[in-house]
Amino acid sequence: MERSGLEFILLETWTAIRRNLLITLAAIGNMTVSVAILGAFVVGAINLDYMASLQAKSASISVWLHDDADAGDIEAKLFGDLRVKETEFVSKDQAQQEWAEMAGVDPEALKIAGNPLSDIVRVKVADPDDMAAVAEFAEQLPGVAEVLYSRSVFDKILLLSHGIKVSGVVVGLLLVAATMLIVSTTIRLTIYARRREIRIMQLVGATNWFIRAPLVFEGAFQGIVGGILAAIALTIGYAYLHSYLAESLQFIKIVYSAQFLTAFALGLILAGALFGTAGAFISANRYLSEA
Amino acid sequence: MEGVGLVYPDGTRALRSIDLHIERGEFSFLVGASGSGKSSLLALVYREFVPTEGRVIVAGQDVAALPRRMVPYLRRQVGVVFQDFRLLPDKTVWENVGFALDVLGTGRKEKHHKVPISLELVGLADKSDAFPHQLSGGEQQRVSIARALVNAPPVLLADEPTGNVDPDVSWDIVQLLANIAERDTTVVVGTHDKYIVDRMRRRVVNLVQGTVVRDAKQGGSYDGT
Repeated sequence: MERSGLEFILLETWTAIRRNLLITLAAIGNMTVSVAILGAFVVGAINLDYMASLQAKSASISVWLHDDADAGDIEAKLFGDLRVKETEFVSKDQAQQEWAEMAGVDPEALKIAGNPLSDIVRVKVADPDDMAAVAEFAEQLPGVAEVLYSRSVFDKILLLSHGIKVSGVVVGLLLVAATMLIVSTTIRLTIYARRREIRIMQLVGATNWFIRAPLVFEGAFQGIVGGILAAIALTIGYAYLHSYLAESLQFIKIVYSAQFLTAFALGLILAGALFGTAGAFISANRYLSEA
Repeated sequence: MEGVGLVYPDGTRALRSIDLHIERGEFSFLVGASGSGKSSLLALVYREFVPTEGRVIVAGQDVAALPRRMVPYLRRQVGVVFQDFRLLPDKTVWENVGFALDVLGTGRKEKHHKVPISLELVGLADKSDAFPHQLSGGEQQRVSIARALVNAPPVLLADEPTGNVDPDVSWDIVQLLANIAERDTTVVVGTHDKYIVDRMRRRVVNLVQGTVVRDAKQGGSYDGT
């Protein structure tokens, strides 16, 4: 297309936005709220999943060895497994020391009674999902007396984490569908406000592409502005939440880094742009196929 | 048009077995009472509707067989003027005419060349910067004619072009349309203005209840008298 064509489309877009200021503002408001709700949901799901994975990652498997076992060989075999992230050898004496500290007993006093414990290899897995399989693998190794990890707690955390992922995707998709519906309905208003121009454009032989372009640009504009507003609101709110948690509820950890916030804000703006563009496209197509 | 019929989706029959041939550069009136099918007939030409029967051929093209995406290109060949002018109220006269070129992606240079020619033709060169509400009905109709002509279409349709203007101005409008026909443009004017039709003495096609009851080739009058 010639340059003047694009110029015309952008100019038309801008005039329409200025002229229908009230409708534009309403559309942007709608977009802001929709994107913000979706964003709040996404960030909530991300954090629930993050907390669950923190719990899962801190969990380790304790592999108790027989007294005559070759600890170095067993640790090497465990570490050789690709699912294992790290291993740590804890000698019988260290184990007793740790236990004494935890129990608040003088370790020297305990030593007199002898050491009923055995050498331990602590194993951390890379993916919490592999926990059970790695534990089974460890059990089969010669020289291993017992394998311990808090299976029931662990399984619940895994279940929760999976639940969050699945329901997150389902609810997320529903929210996206609802947002699209709101957005495309709002953009229908804009189109309706411009039906006279559209009619004349059709009569003088403008292609549908040409009629649609300013409407789609307008939708994209509304979406981007709505996305920016939602990003500002949510980022500020999130920063407040973070500083509140850091002060009063330290055991709750949320994802927080400049990188995360930037990605989140950009994601919201992009989502707004996508919703606006797609919504306008759908509405414009529907309108043009009816006319 | 060959054996053309049109039935609206709601079952109303608008047109029945119409055979009509209009030469290039010919000026003709399409007359009949309201609801006789004048607007429907014109709408078939710019493919607002697709005939349910028969063929409509415009400049060698079968309009009904035209794929949807080609309709805009047909409409560039057919200028249309309406009773209610259909101007954009917040654009000046110049911009309203230029708009028809803008939406075709016409370059700035070409636009600045064509718009003044078109406005000159309808005698409104001095009102370029006026807004539609500052003009009389007759002037507004001239603007809409200028818009229909700016792209130099071979066919110009006018649906009740004098319906909203004063009687003495009506005559000027129709004279203008007749002059346009002199420039090798086919002009079809749908009207029920008896005075004008009788005074012009041109070809008159009379529609009654969706069929052609009379086609006076030359020197026709509104009711055949």
